[in-house]
Amino acid sequence: MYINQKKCVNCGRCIPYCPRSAILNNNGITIDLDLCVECGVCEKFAKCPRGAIYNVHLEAPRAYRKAFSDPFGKHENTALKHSGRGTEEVKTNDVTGVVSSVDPVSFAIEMGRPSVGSTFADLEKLSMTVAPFAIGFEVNNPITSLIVDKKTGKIEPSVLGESIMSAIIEFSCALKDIKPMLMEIEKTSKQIDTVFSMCIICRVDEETNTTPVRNIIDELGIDVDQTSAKTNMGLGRPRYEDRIKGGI
Amino acid sequence: MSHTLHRVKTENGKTNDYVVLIMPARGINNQNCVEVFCKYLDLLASFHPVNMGGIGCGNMVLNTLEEMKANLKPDVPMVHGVYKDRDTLIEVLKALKESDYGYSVVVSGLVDDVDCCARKAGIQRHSMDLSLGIWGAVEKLPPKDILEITTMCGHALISANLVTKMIEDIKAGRTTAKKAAVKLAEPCACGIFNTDKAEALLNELAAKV
Repeated sequence: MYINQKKCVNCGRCIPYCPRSAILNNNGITIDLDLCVECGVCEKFAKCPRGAIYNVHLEAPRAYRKAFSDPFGKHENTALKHSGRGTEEVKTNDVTGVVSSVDPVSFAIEMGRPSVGSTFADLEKLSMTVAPFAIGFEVNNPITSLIVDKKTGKIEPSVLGESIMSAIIEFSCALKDIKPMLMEIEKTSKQIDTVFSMCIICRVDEETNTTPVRNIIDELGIDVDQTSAKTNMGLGRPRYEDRIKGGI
Repeated sequence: MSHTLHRVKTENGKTNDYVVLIMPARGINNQNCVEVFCKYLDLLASFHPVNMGGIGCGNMVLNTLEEMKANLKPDVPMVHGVYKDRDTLIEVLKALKESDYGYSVVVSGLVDDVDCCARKAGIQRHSMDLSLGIWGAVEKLPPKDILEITTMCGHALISANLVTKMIEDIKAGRTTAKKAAVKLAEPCACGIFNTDKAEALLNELAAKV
């Protein structure tokens, strides 16, 4: 994002709107392009009285910033195969059966969330940490198409210097590997310059209304009442099990 | 996307914020989705959500229900309704079960609380996405009471600095908490920002300054 200095009257109205604090007032309002993740909030919502905020057509690798930061942004000029940040995951799991049994489960690590943002370099540290434990990276996730080596978790080198609002590493993992993997993730979490939010997507045993994952989380002392979870109510049709039986 | 997950909850804010998300599975049951989404939006609206909408159809802060329905296109992935109490959530879930329009229904809230509401609505939960919280350089985060507001936009488009500015403006009498909550909700393209909850939190924060 840029500010047209001929139009700008230095009113500063746009400054608090930037989620990355990238709009600066140093003898005139400017945007720090290293911090800016191309989310477009300033242009769309700050209502600049002079229409001074604008953008240019982005080329790779900078185009990756917009692809992962602007929910309205299309994945133009990137090599990504899927738009958005993540996948349907638990949202349509009753129909798709992405996680169809209590073991394995699916993990999602959202780099930069909340509020801080991330570089792809920090993301790579986590993708390399989890790769030895991953049964597979989720094929419909846009980050997966940037993982050039699925065994090591290495990311496409040309994007490593780019910053994004957030991006999700999504993969499946066996129940037995959850604890050792979380220990490795904790070690890596001390070596990065950002935050990440993490979640486990799991099937509920409908006879007992429980999931083994909950026992593991409780054993680790993680308080699930600090942040909201998502619960799929099983109202989607056709159900995954019915589709499999019916060959749909 | 996990945009309705990871909403930070402080002690007072655990049962006043529920997001109901409606989504078809792409390539499986999303045929005629514009027509079906219209039915869902009508159903969600009839229970007086504090916000609703979705990417591509707009939010309730900037659009009427009719405008949101008119904005629907086949590529709109999902719609949401946000409710501020358990009793309403239970009634919404009963209505969704009864209507049986066929799209997946996901509720964001504290996992045990949502399970309790589901059972009261006669629904057995299918699967869940459990948040394991925030890891890494947590010293970079804004204070938790600011995060409780900003994390109501899962795309992180609501700036902590804007929340602080709104608190200062409320304190100085330049705006009201209600107007500030609406202003903060504007960038939330999905319509999942809970304006009622934000208004209450902004009043509390302004009183502390």
